Amino acid sequence: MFERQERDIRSDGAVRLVFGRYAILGSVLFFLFLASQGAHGQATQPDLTKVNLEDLMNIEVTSVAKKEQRLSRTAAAVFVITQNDIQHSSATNIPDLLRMVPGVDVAQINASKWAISIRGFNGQYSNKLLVLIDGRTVYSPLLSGVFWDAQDVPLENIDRIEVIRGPGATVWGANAVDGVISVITKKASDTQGGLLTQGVGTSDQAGGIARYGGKFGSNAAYRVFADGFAYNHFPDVAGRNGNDGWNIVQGGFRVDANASAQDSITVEGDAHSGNAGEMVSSVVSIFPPVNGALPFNDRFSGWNLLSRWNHVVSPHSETSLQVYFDRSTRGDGTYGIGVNTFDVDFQQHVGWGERHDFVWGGAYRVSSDQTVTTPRISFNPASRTTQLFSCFVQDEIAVLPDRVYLSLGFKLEHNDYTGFGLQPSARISWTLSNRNMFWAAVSQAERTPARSDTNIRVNYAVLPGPNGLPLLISIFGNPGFKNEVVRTVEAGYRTQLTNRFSLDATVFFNNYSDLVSLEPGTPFLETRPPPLHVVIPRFFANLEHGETHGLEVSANWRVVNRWSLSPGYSFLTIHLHRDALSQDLTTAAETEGGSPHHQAQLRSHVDLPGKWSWNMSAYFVGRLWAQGVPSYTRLDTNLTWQPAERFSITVAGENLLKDHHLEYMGPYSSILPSMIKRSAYAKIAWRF
Amino acid sequence: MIRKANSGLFAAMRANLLALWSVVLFAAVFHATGSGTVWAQSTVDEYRMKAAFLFHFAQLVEWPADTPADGGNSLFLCTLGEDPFRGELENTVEGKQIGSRTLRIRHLKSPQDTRGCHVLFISNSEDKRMAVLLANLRNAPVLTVGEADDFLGAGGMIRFCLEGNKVRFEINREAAESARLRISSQLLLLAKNVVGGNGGK
Repeated sequence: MFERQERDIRSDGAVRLVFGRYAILGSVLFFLFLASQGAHGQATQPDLTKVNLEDLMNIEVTSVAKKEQRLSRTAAAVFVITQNDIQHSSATNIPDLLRMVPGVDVAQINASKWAISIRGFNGQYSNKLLVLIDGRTVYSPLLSGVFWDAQDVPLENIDRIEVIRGPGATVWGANAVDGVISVITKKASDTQGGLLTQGVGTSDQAGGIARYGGKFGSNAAYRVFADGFAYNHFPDVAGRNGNDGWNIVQGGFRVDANASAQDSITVEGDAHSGNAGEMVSSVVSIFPPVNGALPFNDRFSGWNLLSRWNHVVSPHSETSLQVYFDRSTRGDGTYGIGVNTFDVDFQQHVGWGERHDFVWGGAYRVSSDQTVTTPRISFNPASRTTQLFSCFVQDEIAVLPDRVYLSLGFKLEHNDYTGFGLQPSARISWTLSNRNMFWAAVSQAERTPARSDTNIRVNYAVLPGPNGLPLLISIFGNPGFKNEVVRTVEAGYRTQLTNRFSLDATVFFNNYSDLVSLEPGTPFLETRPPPLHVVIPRFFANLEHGETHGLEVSANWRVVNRWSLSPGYSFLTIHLHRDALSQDLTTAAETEGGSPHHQAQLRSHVDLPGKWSWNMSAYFVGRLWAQGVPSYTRLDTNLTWQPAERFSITVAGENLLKDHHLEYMGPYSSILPSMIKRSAYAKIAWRF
Repeated sequence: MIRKANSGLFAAMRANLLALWSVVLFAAVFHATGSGTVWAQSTVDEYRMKAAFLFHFAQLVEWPADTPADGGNSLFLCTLGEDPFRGELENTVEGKQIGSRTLRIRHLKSPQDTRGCHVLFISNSEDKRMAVLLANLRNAPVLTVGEADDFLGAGGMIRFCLEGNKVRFEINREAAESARLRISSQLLLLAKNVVGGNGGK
């Protein structure tokens, strides 16, 4: 089966190169392994046999098996980035970590900005992907997308990142059209004691975290942390300074308390402030008509406070109530926005009889925004408060207990733009044996409008017109904008072929309707800002539809005890069509050619003798033909030395194959892309 | 103009960050060298922990005096089926002393090889033949340990389970007693659940 997969990948020449490299790397590693068999590593871990049994029973274990077990019954395309994956990765931020997930398209725009999507439709504001941090949505209701530059969860605090490809709307809610990325931080009890890290590097110039965790009495644990980093600027496509340096400082805390045997409470919060440089192309003057790219400094800040109460009603029933407040502001002079979000979320999980397992819940969210009107971007009205109500129910039915499970569920949601929407799904999982599992699902999900779809105006560019009248091309939101809808059929197969090799494969077919298009409007004269000019308007409309289909495969192969390999591959095609009324000749092609057909990755982890470990990862991304971005292969590596359990040193290199490369050049992105540079860093970590 | 202000700010930021972390690291070095080894316990790999549990089981169980001792002064800890410990038994317990005996590890491929084992860990990979396997071992002085859901019901003696992220175990006292193994009261007290036998809690 593995050979088969490799052959499929090899239809692409560039991938063959990677595999060629890895064949060489593989043999080198194998000989290193053979040579190391005489030596004996792992002498530094404490001797657990000297700890008495009662104390052992109080130490928490990291259980891979348990996660895999839970995963093995999930009837969805789930990939979990574990703590081990994070430790072994050279990535210093969440976007770069996501590159390891097959089916996720990560394209870096400049030092601080990324375009990230699942199963196509990539862009700086990818709006069909829901991103959550500890249950708090970071999807902007104003610009319908995620500001990745402001999502600084220190990697040391992350327990795992669950990536669900495909619609997750029934449980997670609107905008989980093509996937959900859920970042889950460690419990306070898992971050006891102190931690200090310091990194220095060529691109990631300086960064680190200071963290301390302790206990309040015997039932509550806390942590407090402060972290920060500064990234160097990249060159622009012409090799000049891309003016895109990026820095953040952040502080935060988390408290986990067991109020009683049945009740646990979590309270957490953080506040951050940062700057990200960028080159913004915009209208410089209407008369004479001049467009240009100017350097700006995007400043952002925010804070949030979240609390969650879990209550165990009985062995078969559990409730949770989550409340949070989130405030974020940002602006670079060409725009200015602020959003306050308050969210309440209730869920109950209850078993009913032998065969039914219900989850149901309700949520309410209110978002209030304020915007600054600038010559480039304005919203009408400038400030708006929107509300979202939702409720969902899902029943997991044990058709054949331990073998066949059927999940039926729907979410009913009401938003201020499009009213009620229903997002149903049906999923079936069939466990053939301990080692083989098959699943299939059909679902429908919706991308609800944001302020940018309905109320925005962007003065995009200016052109010289007849009689000296300047023509101002402006993009307008459409107050009648509808939901974008997807219907998905997907199926997957997971197998543990041997104790050392497991494989997870998914195929999907998506059918989209009411997709966004950009339609021409009737030109009109405008006197302000002076001088008199003609506005060539373009409106958002829902006049496109289409299909995507694809395949995602990931595998884990423990070649020998000290060496594991994780290959992955994904394939995607997008076919979009104009509705009869549409006059948009470009969006379909831009979307079709804006996501790579082929992506492949290979990660390697080796435990070397003498407390060393060596990791390598290679990522191949196919070309983006609509953007003229050629295919590229990233190669990252790092070497870690951990002489004692409390101390480690890592040196890492990223993008080793080329001095610089381009990953994204999207249309309508007002941010100019930078070249992603080869870089290196060193990092020390100290626990006390 | 903006660019200049921006890069100045970056320089200041970087300088501040570097200064902050240098101070903090300096303090950390002092703290660490001054206070000795105050090492906050982080989490441990599940099977490394279970290996340590197996060591304690071997310490807290008495085998009948007439148990054949093929290996002289060795106490054999065997695994049957696919080994989930992946080297942790060797790392954690191999060669450790229990009384006058030395712990030795064996990884068995076939159930015929269980002769001479004192402790037998039966992997979940043997799920299908678990009942037959345990029936054949009935009354033999082998402490059987497993993880399958119905391990105790099928006649196994100790079953590992997880409670949250912590390792727990259950004991089938009847199975142990019929094999003339004496499980210490300490182990019985720490068990999450004791089934069968007299005085089970």
